[in-house]
Amino acid sequence: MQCDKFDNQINELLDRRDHPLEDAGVTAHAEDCDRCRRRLDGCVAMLDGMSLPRLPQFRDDFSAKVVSEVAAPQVEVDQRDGRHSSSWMIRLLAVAALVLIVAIPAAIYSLRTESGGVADNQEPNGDTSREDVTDDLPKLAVEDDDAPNEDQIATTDDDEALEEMVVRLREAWPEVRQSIMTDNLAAAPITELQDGFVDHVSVPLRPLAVSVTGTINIVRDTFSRGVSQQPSDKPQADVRWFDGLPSLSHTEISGCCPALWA
Amino acid sequence: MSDDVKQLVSRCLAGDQAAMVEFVDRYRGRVFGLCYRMLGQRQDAEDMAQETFVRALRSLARWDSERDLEPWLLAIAGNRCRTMLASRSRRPQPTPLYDGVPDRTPDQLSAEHLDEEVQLALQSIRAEYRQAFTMFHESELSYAEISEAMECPVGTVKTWIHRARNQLIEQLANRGVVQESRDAVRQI
Repeated sequence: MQCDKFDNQINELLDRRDHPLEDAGVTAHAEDCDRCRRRLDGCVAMLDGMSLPRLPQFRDDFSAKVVSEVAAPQVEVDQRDGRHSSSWMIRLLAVAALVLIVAIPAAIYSLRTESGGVADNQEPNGDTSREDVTDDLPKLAVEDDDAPNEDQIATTDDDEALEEMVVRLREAWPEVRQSIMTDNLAAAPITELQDGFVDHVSVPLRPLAVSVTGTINIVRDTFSRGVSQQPSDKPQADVRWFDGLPSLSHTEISGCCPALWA
Repeated sequence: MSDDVKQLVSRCLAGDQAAMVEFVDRYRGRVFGLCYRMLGQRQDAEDMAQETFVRALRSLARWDSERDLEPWLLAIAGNRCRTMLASRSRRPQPTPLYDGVPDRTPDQLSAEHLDEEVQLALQSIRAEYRQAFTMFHESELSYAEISEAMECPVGTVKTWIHRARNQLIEQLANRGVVQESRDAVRQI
């Protein structure tokens, strides 16, 4: 008997509910073949294990409990529905957070452009030596690169527009923060989360958290040059740049992404 | 289908609580056996057996009296166990506590160890294989009955059972439980 035929024979015997040890061909082959003897032993152990008497010691009130439960009014709780709704809730929150994250910087750039902000590659004194540093930032409208206009820099209109942005950010921020954080952490003061904000949010929402910190980086960069007129080659950790954001404070923002302030 | 089972079912449908107790007592060993093999934990198996009977008694009116009751009952139990296994896989499992009972003889320990080894091997195979294998080898249902209970073709059931056997045999042989099984069975 070949080994593959041995395996088939074992299965056929088991299908007929016969014991393999009662088959002369099987036992004869197993005596000559180590591999098949090992499998035959395993098969016997399996059958023995399945045939062991196992008398379950039920609770005394098992049957009575079943009957009382059958007699009780039926209250169907579909756990799957609950799971789906919570799953959808998380997705909805994630989408809302994503929309906010995209909308905030878009609004900032839009307002900055409309109010005639300073060009990103242009220093207040007209020096364009920072071009290589800020080349990846969106270019804002200027009329003449060679002749900087003092009116384009930190005008009253700018301040009003920035004030409006601050209000929008202030309103949006709690919702974003609530959406991206786990329940326990959402209730905690943001100042307690300064050590690794991204690590504290739940795993599926980490990309969003990274986006939030990226957004904050953009906001910081925009405001730092728009309001305080600080040259961007100054240390980014200078929190005084955020004096123009009284409520969406540096404390909150730095708490979100300490790496940005390191 | 025997007449006494039909009568028992009729009494259950009429709301006879004594008949319901009799119904549960008659089938609870088979239902518990499948649940235990499927779930691997006594307490979970008992809970699933209880849930199976509650569901079965509530939907007894939908049972086709031309068909055997036991496969229908075991199908409910199997479905409940697979649902539980699916939910169990989505949440972390606590380490099961050893619920050993003292004063066992060496023979009993040997038999228990064999039972544990088989149970361990069973838990490592797919739930569908496990259910089909247990229905065939423990509940002693035919391929056709298993096919009906699991709502899949007979050929699929055969394949599942053959694969289950091969995987179990391989695992038990690798773990060297052969001699213990001979000792345990000889003593019993």
